[in-house]
Amino acid sequence: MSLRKYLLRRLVLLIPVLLGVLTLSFVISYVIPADPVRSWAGPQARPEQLEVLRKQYHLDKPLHLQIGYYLKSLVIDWDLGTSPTTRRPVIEDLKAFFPATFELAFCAFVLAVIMGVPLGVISALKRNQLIDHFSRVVALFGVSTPLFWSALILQFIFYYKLGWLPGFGRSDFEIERYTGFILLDCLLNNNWEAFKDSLERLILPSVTLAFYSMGYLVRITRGSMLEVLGAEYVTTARAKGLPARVIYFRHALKNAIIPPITVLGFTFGWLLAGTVLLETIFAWPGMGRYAAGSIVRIDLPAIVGYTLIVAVFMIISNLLVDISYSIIDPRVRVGGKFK
Amino acid sequence: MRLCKQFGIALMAFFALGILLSGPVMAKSPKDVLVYELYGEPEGLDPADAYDQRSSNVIANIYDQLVQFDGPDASKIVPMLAESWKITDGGKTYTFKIRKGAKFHDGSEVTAAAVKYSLDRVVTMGRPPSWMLKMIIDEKSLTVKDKYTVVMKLKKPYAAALSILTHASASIVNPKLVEAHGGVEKDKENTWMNQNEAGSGPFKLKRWVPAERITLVRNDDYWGKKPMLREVRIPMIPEIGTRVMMLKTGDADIHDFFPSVNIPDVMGSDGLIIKPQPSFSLIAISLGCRGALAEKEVRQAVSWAFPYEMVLKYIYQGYSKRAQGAVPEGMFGFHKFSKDELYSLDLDKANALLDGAGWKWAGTKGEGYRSKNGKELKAEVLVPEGDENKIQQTIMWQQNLRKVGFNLVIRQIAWSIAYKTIRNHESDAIFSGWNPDYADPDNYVDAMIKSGNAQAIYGSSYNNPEIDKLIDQAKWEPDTKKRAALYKKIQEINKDDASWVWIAQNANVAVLNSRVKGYYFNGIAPINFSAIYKE
Repeated sequence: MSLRKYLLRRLVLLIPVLLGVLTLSFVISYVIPADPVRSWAGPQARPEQLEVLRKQYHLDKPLHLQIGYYLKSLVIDWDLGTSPTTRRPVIEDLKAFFPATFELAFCAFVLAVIMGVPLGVISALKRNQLIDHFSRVVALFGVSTPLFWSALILQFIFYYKLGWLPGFGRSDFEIERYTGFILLDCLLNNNWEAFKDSLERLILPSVTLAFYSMGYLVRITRGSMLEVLGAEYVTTARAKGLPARVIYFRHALKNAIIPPITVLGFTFGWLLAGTVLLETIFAWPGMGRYAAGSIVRIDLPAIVGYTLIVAVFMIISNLLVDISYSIIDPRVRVGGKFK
Repeated sequence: MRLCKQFGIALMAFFALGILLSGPVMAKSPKDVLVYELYGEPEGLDPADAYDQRSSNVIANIYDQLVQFDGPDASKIVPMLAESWKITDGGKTYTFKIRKGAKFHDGSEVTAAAVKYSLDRVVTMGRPPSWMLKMIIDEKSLTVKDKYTVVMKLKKPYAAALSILTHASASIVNPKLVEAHGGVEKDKENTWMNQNEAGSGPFKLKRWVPAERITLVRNDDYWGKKPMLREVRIPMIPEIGTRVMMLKTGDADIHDFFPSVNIPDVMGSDGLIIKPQPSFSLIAISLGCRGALAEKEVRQAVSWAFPYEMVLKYIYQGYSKRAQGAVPEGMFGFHKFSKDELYSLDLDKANALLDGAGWKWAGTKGEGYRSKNGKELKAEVLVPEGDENKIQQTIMWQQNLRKVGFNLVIRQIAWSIAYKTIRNHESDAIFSGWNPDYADPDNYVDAMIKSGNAQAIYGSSYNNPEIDKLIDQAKWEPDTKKRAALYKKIQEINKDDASWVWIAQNANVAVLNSRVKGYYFNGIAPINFSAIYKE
């Protein structure tokens, strides 16, 4: 099967998966023993006004009709509905919040990879030496420190006590937001002062997030590298008298990198969906906060919209991981059989 | 080598200690920019649609109303867009003269037609806050007499009509802009108006970055006193710890409605002022009048078991007053009970009431719970999940109740679920309260005590036909003296009925940077940025 065919098949498979996700999130929201309308209109609204909202959101209709209305506006108008709590179209909300989280997750991801993979490799090569102990301690701290704790500590030291870095928000400047990616927007506005401010504001949250995922990455890379270094072909290569550089980087690392890549795929999805505490502490207007807020207020259109988008990204990042296997390891052929 | 290591450790410890002991680094925000912290986003900026405190705080500063309260005084109403008004026809007809020269932010003039358009719009749209205006007017009530005169004929004379007109929902909007962006549709929201503005107020909306910040700028063409601040920034900071740090570093200037549990975090901080101000918010527990709580004596007994003084002193840090009934102190119609009349912590009285009502101890007195006809003396109370403050109060109450043989079950629950649970009669009581919409006792008694709303809002089965009749009578009574007497009677009957455990009349604790001057709190009206300046 060619790569194109494979991709097409995976993308077509998206549709039933998304339908399932949609139905499931509707059913779960439906069975919650709550009155969403009351939570949207506030505790002091009168019954008459609640009925107006109930009708507007088709909550007076049975579940299958609600899903029907949703699908209809989704397929025909490409409309995810309007959130009754932020009073903005869900698609607008996602457009505003997704870039914030993506930017944060991406920076954290890059930091984690830059730091985590080399540290894991070095740690394996210098096994039981000082640098190995150091990297293991770092990894242990990274994995075992709760995210919110390290966030609070870093914020306390670098924002509150030392005043070196800003501790909240994305930008202090009133710039035009063209894309929602703040660094990019600063450049588009040709405002370097704003760029510096936004970059500084990105440091604390992304370092916190990177530290957390890095620990895991170091452990996996180290373990996988050690396993490969013990393999017979590495011994053979050594016996042939190949230089260490070639053995480690051309032979060993290429094979050892598969497990870390699998982890990376998941990590990126996790970074996108799991940043709610971090976003709360650093007042980062991202998807995590949006999702958490929607759940608390039983904001049905927002919950369903968010779930769909996260599902799409999870599927796409998994697909990218699968494809990158085949590029790194020729034994893996996407969708095909060994020949 | 070893010495080197020890020296390194000592250096690090010294550094860490230095960080811990040093104060925060102070930033200084510009003199003409005010940073007002909010914990979350306003829900929307359409006056006809928004019904939450955060939204009102912004709406009130970008829109004008016909009339408004006189600064911090919630009992005096003064002209705003209406220069003057006449009340005729036994309180049924209001004739407003509109101020000449008042302009919307786009430069068009505020006219009588705009007033009619704005109030009609609220009634037509039927969104959450619309019930207030709908109570007094319908679409036929307003007529434009000339360009600057508008006549409002009430459905029935209502003493608090002017007070309703001060509410954010009665803001005057620019008809031209609204018509250009979706117009008015029956029972439908206006998405554009939720995110933008069409006002004439002292500030203009500059930008709203979702979940991040709202920025207001001064309206230099304002008809009234121009604000001294050039810009007001309203960042949304969900985490209290971050908000406290921002106050202490000077990155933020004002945090009102400061959570009482966090007051010790800012006490004694350099450059911060803690300003407690009495508000009209009531904190109380609605007793659902079902099960064991259906008996008046049982409700009275549990009212005698609440640790009022302890709660006011330790949980509300001494800043709040004791609530006496459905009408708060400082509001028209408030009736002050003497100390002996009020419920206080008196377990002997509670025991006597329960003994009298036939609730018997199973074994020795003081052990286990009482019961009657094989049914245990028991009730469940719903407390908002994560609200430490209320949870602590309930636990203290539970311990007292155990001593009188009453089994109080505490259930923590997300509030969106709580209201349905109690309305379906799946629980017996709810820890709640009331924030005023406008300055009138009717707003409280009609919502908290009258059977229809007590059921619709709090899921309470409280139903006393006599009190319902009195509430209706008081609502429409034009004579102030007679009205006050009616409210006194309502509060007395309700005290005896004990359908609520009245705990506190909450204080609004504001934490301010000491450079901030001119801030005041009205109790009913939202914050007024145009009175504020910085030194």
